[in-house]
Amino acid sequence: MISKRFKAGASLAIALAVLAGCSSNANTPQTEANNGNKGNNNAATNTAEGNAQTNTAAGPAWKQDTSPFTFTQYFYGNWASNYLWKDQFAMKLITEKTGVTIDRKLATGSDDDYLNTMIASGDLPDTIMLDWNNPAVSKLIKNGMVYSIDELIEKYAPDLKDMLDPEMVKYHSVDGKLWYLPNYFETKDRLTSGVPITPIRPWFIRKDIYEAIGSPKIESTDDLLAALKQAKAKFPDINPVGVEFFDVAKNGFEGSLSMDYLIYSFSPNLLEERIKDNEKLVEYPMRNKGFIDAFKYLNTLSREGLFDPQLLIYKQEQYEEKLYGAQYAVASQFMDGMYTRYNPKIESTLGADKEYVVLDGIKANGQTPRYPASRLMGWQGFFVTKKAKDPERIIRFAEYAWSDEGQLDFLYGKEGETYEMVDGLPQYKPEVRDLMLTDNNAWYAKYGLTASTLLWRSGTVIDKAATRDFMKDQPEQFEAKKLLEKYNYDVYPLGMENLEPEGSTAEGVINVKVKDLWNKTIPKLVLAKSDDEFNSVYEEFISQMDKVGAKDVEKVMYERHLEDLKKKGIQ
Amino acid sequence: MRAGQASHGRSFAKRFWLQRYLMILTLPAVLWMIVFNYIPMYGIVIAFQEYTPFQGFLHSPWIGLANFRELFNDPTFTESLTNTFKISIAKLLFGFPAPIVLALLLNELVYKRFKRIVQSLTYLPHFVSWVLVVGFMYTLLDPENGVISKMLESLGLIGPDTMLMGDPDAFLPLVVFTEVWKNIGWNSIIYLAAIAGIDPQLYEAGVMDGANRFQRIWHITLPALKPTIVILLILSIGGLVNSNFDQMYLMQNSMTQDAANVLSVYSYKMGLVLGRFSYGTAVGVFQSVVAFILMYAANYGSRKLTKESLF
Repeated sequence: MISKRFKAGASLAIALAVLAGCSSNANTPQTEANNGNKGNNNAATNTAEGNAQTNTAAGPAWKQDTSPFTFTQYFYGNWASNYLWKDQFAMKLITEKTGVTIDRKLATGSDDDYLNTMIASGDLPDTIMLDWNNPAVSKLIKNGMVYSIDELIEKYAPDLKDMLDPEMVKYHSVDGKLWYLPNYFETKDRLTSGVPITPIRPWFIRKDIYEAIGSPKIESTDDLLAALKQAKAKFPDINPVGVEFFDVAKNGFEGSLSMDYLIYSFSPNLLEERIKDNEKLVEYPMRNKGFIDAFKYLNTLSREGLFDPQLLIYKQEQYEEKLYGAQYAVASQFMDGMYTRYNPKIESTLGADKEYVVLDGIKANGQTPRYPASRLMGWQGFFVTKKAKDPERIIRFAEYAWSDEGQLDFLYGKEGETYEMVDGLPQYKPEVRDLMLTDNNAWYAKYGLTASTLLWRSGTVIDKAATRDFMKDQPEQFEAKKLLEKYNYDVYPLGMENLEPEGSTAEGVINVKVKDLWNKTIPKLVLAKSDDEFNSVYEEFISQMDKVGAKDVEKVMYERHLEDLKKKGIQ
Repeated sequence: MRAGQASHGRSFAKRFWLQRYLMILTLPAVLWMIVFNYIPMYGIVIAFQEYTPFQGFLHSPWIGLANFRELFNDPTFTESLTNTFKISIAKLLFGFPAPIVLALLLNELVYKRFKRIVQSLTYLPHFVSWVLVVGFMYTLLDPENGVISKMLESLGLIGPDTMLMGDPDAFLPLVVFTEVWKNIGWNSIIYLAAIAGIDPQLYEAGVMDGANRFQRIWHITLPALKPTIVILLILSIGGLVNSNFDQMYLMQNSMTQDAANVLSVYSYKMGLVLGRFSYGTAVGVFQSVVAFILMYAANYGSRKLTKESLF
């Protein structure tokens, strides 16, 4: 009997211990969370009392409560480790002033996976910084997962309303309400003021090779072809052309971002030509002759042995590796990347003669290129989710970040310590500027400037200061940007922004199929052995695209085009 | 022993009562299974709903089999299904016997130190992530200066400047080869363990009867391995609809995307990339059902044919 009782006791004890182990693990965070909630509730009631007291005293809403407060934020962009809050100078400055700390998180792995999982599980952080034209935005709004910014402003931070650009509010409102604060919304003067815009990935040529082939004029696609042939003859070990990776899903219909340079030479009026008002369609660019001619040009390069077919399957990393080794005679890269990352690295490892210099825009079939320059309609939206523990504090913090004071703190830091005013414009102190130019990562780690609130707002003062600094810091890049600026035209009135249908709609599914088809057609076009093969591959693609229902998407894109015009107040 | 015999044939309740202490001991594991494996399974209902995260799977509207109807009408899905089976069967054909052969070969080695070194070297690749493996492949198969490409070229197996990574016909062989290379050593461990459990007396008797090495392998080692082989085969057949997502996803590019389109990649693209959660789940449900049927059939067949089975 004893042994039996013992057995029963022992087995029960073990079972209970295991279960207790589980449950206690599960319980602790919960109780902590409860405590946390209580703490927050206290804080909330405190702020409420605080309001009552200070509301009488006029002043910015964010000054009413500067007690320590932390909110979480997901930043869409897993590359942004420099944006994490780690007690950098700018972060400390903001916490001292407002009491606020942002616990910013990045995705581990793919951002879209992370974001969609977050939405599917409803497990949202307090705030989200997400590209305003990301397909998930409408999900957040339609599912009622985020607060309307208007309502929060009305309730808690009425002053913020007057600080917002009415044009921006109109453009970004969905169903008559503003759901996020977009950063980087640039006004019309941006096209004429500030640092010149380079809307395409320019092509560059290696200095020593260019000189070795006699520095010929490269003004047209034929000139470029001739120069590449010469380069190949003189430097047989070098790859004549380098372009960035191809992936239609990631880069859009141009496949590789480097293609824009050719596309807008072969088809300078591409965007206008895509709009077919008579048929009420916005065509896929693949139907445009000039657009396809750009790929035909690449096919010519490939047939002449000037284009390495590996580029069609390379990932970005493999291209970067070769570019760091200056292994291309002509290479494409976004302007700032070439001048701040590749050229300095090439100079220090291989010598200044192997640096790349920018090519001017090239004419194709006698047409002058036109680059669709858009001022930014915004980069990311600042969303306050329904899970936010204290939306009141958050919106007041946004008011601070949006204010002139907040902008200066965010971009320049503290007067006298990190910047000083020169001729009415802020300017980094020499040691801050030097570190920024020599070791960007160290600069971010120490000062955290341009990384704290991330609520950039455009303004003439900041624009002017930026241009002045840019000319001084990067004269070479400034020259290059100036060289290409003449091809820019304002794309804003065309109403061609954000055209593609949302992924979860029927047309969105077709659009993905079209992209898939086009993605595998590009290599076939580029590697075609004859004109006949090129044409038959192309025709096959068009008929397949029509079969999956491309026309339906083109209709939706037309509707969205009209919507875009309406939002901009043009029609 | 006696208790076991005595309980045989008695009613379930009585047996349950007799084993009550053991039952209490298994209780936590059963609860764990229910909480983490069975309750979440309810989530598959979203395959039959127009799921929106806001409404959750309790309140989203039901749409019946609409997702499945769309699925079977999508040619990309049919293509992904064919690809999945093609790749899995090739993997099974080459990948399944390879570790058995390796284990047999290793077992015959007399020099133990060498055996251990070979064993470690063959199972090391198992710990290298697919990201790295695919990175190696791009480098080794580079048509201009990839070591393996150059070797194959000098052997006349491929023409000059062949882009193996961009060749849809080379995709399947590459998938199978890398899979075998990566997992042959790791999968042989279980067979080596089983071999170690064979009674040495059997071998001694074999030697006495004049059996040579090959005969000893054929008549002693392999029959002793049979239960292990059968069980692992049943499990592999159940896994035929799952192809390795990491490998496929990383190895695909614009030129091989048709060959690399397998069920798991399709489900990922539809569910997570496009955010069509219900549709992606429908693909997953289909995959699980087929896997279950296959495994059940394999188990049934094996029980009939060899008297060995998993359940």
